[in-house]
Amino acid sequence: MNSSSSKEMLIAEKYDLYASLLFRLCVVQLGSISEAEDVVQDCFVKYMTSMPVFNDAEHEKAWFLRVAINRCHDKRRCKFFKDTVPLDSIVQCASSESQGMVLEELSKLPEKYRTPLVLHYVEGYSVKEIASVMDLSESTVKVRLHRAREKLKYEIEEAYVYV
Amino acid sequence: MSEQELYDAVRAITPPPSLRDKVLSKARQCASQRDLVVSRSDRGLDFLFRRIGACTTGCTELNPDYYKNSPSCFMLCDSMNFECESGHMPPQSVLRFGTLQLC
Repeated sequence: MNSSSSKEMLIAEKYDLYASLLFRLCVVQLGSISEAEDVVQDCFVKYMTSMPVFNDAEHEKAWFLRVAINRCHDKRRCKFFKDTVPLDSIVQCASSESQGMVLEELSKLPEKYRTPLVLHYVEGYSVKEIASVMDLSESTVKVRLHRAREKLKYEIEEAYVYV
Repeated sequence: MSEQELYDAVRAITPPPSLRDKVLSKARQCASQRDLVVSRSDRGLDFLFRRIGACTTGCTELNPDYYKNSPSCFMLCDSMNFECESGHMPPQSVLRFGTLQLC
């Protein structure tokens, strides 16, 4: 096997491991499917071009998450992103009306609440791991998780009242 | 809302199969030492072309695969060069925009 095809196989392996996780996180962060696709591509391009060396699998996964979070942050700060409204919507991903409502209310939460919420309740990250990936203190993560949970619960209950 | 509902809703978000092909295509480019170009989404392209406006030559040819409703006739090819279907050269503003990696 030549180095070209082995590199492609390596990327395919990493894609299968991390793409779903990164895509979910990016869609929740950006509220746009097409923007999330771009960020996921950027993550793998960065991996291909820098080929970083990792201590273990967790280190590697944290690196991908960190790159995706930073890239989403850059996107949101970009003037072009601020000046546009996505043509697609996070609700398109839902397979039922109730899921659509959860995703819609989730996308309305402040960004600082969305990422810890998804990492903790969907991806199974501990408070300590989230603090490390997001470069925050553990107490800050705990507070954000608590507030995010309360706010999301309140907003969804309110939404159900009006249905 | 339960934690399970949140879990199920977010897990329903899955990447489109085409994304894997795009990433692996970049891997092939990288392996063959060619310049990497991140292909932008249709929405991004549409936005780009709305910003740069029409071809300076007044050509109205459109690439139907990408931007049927775009006022521009330029297409973004794999080599990151811009050209319209008639082969017209893009204005300098497009080239400058291109060097900014489209935002």
